[in-house]
Amino acid sequence: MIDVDVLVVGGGHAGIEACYASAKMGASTMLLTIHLDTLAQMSCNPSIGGTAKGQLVREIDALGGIMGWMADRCGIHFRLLNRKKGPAVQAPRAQEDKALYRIEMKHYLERVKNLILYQGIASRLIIKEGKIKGVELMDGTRIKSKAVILTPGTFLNGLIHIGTINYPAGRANEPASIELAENLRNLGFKMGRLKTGTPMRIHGDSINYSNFQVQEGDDEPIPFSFRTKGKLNNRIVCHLGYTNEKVHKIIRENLHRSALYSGRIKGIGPRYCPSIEDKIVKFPHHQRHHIFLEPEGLDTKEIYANGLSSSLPYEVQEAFMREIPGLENAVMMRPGYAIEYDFVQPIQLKKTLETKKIENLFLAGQINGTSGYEEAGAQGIIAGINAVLKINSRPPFVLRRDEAYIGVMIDDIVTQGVDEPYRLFTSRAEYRLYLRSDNADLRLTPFGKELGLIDEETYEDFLRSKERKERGRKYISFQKKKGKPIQSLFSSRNIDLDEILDLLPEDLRPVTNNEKMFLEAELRYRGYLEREKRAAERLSKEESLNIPEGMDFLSIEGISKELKEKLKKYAPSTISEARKISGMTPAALSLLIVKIKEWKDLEKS
Amino acid sequence: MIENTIVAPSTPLGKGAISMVRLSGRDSLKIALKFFKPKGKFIPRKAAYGKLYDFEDNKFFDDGIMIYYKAPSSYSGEDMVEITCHGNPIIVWRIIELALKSGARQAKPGEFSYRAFLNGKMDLPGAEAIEDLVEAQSYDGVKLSFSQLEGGLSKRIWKLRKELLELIIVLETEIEFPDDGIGIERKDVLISLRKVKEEIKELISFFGSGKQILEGIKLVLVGKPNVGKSSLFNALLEEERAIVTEFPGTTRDFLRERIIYRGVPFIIIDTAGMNPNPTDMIEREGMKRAEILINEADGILFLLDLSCQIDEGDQKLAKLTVNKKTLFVLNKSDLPEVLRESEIKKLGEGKRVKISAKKKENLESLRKEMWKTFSKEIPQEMVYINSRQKANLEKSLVSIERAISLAESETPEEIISEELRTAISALEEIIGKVKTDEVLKGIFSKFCIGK
Repeated sequence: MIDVDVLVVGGGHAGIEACYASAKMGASTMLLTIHLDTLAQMSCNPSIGGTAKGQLVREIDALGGIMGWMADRCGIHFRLLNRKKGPAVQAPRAQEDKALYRIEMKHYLERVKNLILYQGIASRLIIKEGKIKGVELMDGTRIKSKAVILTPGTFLNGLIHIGTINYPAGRANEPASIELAENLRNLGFKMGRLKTGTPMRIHGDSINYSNFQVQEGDDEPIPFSFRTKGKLNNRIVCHLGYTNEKVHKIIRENLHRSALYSGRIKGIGPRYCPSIEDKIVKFPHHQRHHIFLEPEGLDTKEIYANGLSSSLPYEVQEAFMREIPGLENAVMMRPGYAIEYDFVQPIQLKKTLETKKIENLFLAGQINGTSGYEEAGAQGIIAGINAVLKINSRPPFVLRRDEAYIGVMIDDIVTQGVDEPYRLFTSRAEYRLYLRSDNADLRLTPFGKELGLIDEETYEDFLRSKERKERGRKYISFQKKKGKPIQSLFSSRNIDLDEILDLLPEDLRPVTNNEKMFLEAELRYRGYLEREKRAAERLSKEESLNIPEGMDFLSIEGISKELKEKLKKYAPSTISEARKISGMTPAALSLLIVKIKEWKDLEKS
Repeated sequence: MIENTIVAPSTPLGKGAISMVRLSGRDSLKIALKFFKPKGKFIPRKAAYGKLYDFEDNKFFDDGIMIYYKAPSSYSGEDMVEITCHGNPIIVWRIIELALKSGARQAKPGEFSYRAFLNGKMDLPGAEAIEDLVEAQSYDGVKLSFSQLEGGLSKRIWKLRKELLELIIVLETEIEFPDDGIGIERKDVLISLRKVKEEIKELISFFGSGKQILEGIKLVLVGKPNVGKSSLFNALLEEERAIVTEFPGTTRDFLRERIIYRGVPFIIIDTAGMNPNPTDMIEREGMKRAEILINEADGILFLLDLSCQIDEGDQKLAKLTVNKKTLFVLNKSDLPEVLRESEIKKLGEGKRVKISAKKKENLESLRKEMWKTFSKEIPQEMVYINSRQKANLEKSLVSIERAISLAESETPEEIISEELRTAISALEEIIGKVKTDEVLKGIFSKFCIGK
């Protein structure tokens, strides 16, 4: 019988960060995956990063995770999005060589101390007295562990739809994890069903690119990882094209054959990532929609047809594809499909991502109703860290909404629950001008160091960079240019940052783009950052408002009986704790705050 | 638990097709049925036609509709009755009188909403707003932070909020989905922002006049000694005794009383010791105070003695009131008339009413003229803004103005959005918090997003 401290079930982006963090923190860790060769597979688009997601990757990296570093290594086309906007919403994104990413990641993990990679299908959780003890595999093998992190992704009761056909699978032609889903359901978890989709892949040689617009990578690619040194290179270009009325007509005429519109799909899909049939139905007045042609890697001809996600039958996908100028003779290598999968309603989780129901069982990634490699990875690292902390009886590691996008995301899903695949957006953050990619290290690396996820060398680098950033900021904010304070120059979109940075003494000049961005952000957003800080402090004050002992919850007018009883049962000692009670609404919380103040006034008088 | 049943008009004071009076509290139905006689069967939550009955003179005085809401399914969460009558303030006033006589108490401004909040019927944005309410709950002179005409204000705020939200949605789409090429024109953003700015400014401008509606129109009695100010003051009050309420906190050496005429509250202020030719310290001090009162007043009742000529004293006082809307009250009509029209004209513009305070003659004409002269000031679209709401509107305005200058200077979207978020959250302090997902929902329903 295998015996480990932490068992991670699922070798996707969540599982990888989870097992890496766990092993790095010194716990004996096993990563269990259905197929070792598809470890770190990018199931859908061949890119990492983007708005909010790019910030998330930086945060994972700042904590000591792998995703950013690997994405830099395997990236073949790099762009910084929103270059024309301010640093808070600028976000790195990279096209990746999928195969390389997979291979490199596996190789990387194989060399991690304390980590075992193992191929197998988990079928049942072993639970004793409400506590997880390990996992039983389909072949009967039992793996004993102190903590288990489940990261099954779309494999959890996955069902693929192409047109009117469907079959159980986690990804095209990979077996789904059906027994595990049933097991979770039997344990009493409230589950739901979500849907996502992926577009067709086309043979690159069959595309007439002259009909498309070239999209180059940035001249000076900006890495995700604070650890990446040296220049990154763009190895490919992407292409931009459009659908047209002919394409739409074919889709409209065949809507009844789409899995989505024929009512075969029950799961809820993401609004921000609609299938092509969805776009045509919901925006009938649009004459065209974007298509991005993105190479899947260097050693393959497969091109990912971004924008054409579809659950129509193969022949319809082929028919509409051929109406697109430049794809008249295109050869489809894989059709697009939709996939439905189970998720566990995340309000059943603590902010550490441990389930409330079963001790030491953690969930991360799509099982929590999120979508995206980056969202998965970020939850993975948090689950990994907290699993190790938990089994060592150390205090949990929870990031607040004003500390990290990770905090925003986890707070959102565990307090609000999920009703469509959850994706992070910068607008979800109250403190957007502070939660930036350029200060992710300042915000999180000290935590990573404390947790044992950051090695000495990286930390030394961080300290040097931190000093340049902080001293640089201080120095420059007192400088003047043409008799005007530096600050005032930032009222315009077009400023020559380099000219301003020239005012810095040699030793304080930024050495990375990151440091440059940091200085720009701190100058540009100064007043706002102070305001955000005050707002965050006010919030945390309210959160830490103590609920007096002996408080009579049942006497609070205006909240449901059910909630009153829950309050009585859990007897929270702070507002922050009360907020975590399932079913707690902002209105109820407001009433509770009023009641506390009333109660305190009474005691005073 | 709140024991009292409260009553108040819930439509703006003024003439209209219909008006509504609301009762809230345990005895709402019992009280209402004393003066509303429904025809036929009476079912909760269903409109019942009936007649309004004056139990003091045993006569019907109007017909209307009554709806009874049983707790907790009502606006306030208590038993409630809504009576819709014809839109004459006199009818409204009589209904309220009858309700008061049957055991109801006049609602404080915003008390229905306040009760709704206490009963968990309403949500309040943020701890700050809650703090306001907690303060208000102490009843120590802090005004309740809801306006009587809240409905009107909320609508305006919701509209503003919607306009801002639409701007944010466009900006956020541009930020979140740079590759989808939505494209926004700064020009259009600026047009919307300027429109919002003007609307907020208008709302803020209502602050003063809103106070008039809620607290009454302040009229100062001006006139030299012995012209009959006190007699007029008392005469006006005596007839109104039934509905005159003692003005709380009157400790100063002038008298303030409230009278209600045709549903419009007037605060009449009698400046004791007003002497245009002060002879001692006390009188000088009295004049100083009178000047302050005149400046703060919404209008002037300028008393003249019909039985004698205009003198220097009248002229001095006229100088103080020159910028104020004035009604000339020509007292002592019971004595031989000496004062000439042309003389009065020299004192300033304003209508004239002849009365005799002593004999209580022609007081009704005076009241009518007061009503005509001073109460029509209130514009139709007027909403009441309390100081808390005004503060939030001003906060919002500051951000809007900043957003405008940022947008003019080509500042990146996320900063403009930050200002708009602040502007919206200030508005939400007034009406309640938005669900966080609203912006995202807007993005997805307006734009075709996602590759």
